[in-house]
Amino acid sequence: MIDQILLVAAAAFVGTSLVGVYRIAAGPTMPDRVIAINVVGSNVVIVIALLAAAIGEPGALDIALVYALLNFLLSIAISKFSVERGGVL
Amino acid sequence: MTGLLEAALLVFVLSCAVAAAALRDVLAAVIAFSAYSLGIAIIWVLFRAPDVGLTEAAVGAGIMTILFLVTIAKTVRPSIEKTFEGVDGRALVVSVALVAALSTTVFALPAVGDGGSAVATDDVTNYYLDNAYEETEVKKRRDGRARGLPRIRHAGRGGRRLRRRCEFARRASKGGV
Repeated sequence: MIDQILLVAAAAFVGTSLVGVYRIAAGPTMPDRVIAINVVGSNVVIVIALLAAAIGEPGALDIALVYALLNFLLSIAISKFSVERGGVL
Repeated sequence: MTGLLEAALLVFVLSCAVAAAALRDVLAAVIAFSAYSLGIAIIWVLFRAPDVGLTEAAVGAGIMTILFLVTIAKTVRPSIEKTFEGVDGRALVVSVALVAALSTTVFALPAVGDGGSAVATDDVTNYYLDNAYEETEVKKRRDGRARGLPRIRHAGRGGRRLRRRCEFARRASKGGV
């Protein structure tokens, strides 16, 4: 029962990410897209954590951690790129 | 209920892929591609392949995006007049036909978790199931468990730590972790 609820919640979070994808596709400016990818990344972390609980695989939480770190790195890299016009690292 | 999640993931991944292909601005396409990679990683976790998911996280979302950004920085980013690229009809027909031809092989795959699949019944699998203990020279105990880890008798500070580590490894080898 709990598993079902967790899976439905995960599906709802994926559905929320779709809104972010719309903003990535349509977003008129680059900051819109950076914020959208940040939202999608945070949603993905939540979905992986929910899945780890639902399918009983606590090892998947490590992936959620890696994603949380990468999500931060990704936003920083893209922001730095779009502000400094070509400075990435 | 897994079906609902799978359907949502399919829509998510497909729309990300189409956006990555059709966006005219390369930086936006890179962002759409990393969103696609995030979706694929959830699919790996859902299909019980967390190691692939971890690699997808590190490579697909992390390294690839940075590499693409560096590439854009080294080359020219064209100015944009419109958001989406136009689609060539003939190229679309050719690529759809190619995908249709390739996806006929999908039906030859065994079902997920099928006991009669090649991985479970293969000669290599059975060979190592039969001979792994002899070839690795791990002694088998009478209760059937493997005994390969050393016993530490003198428990000083380092010994205690080592013993704890061995205990952890023993538990892991039993499949507890």
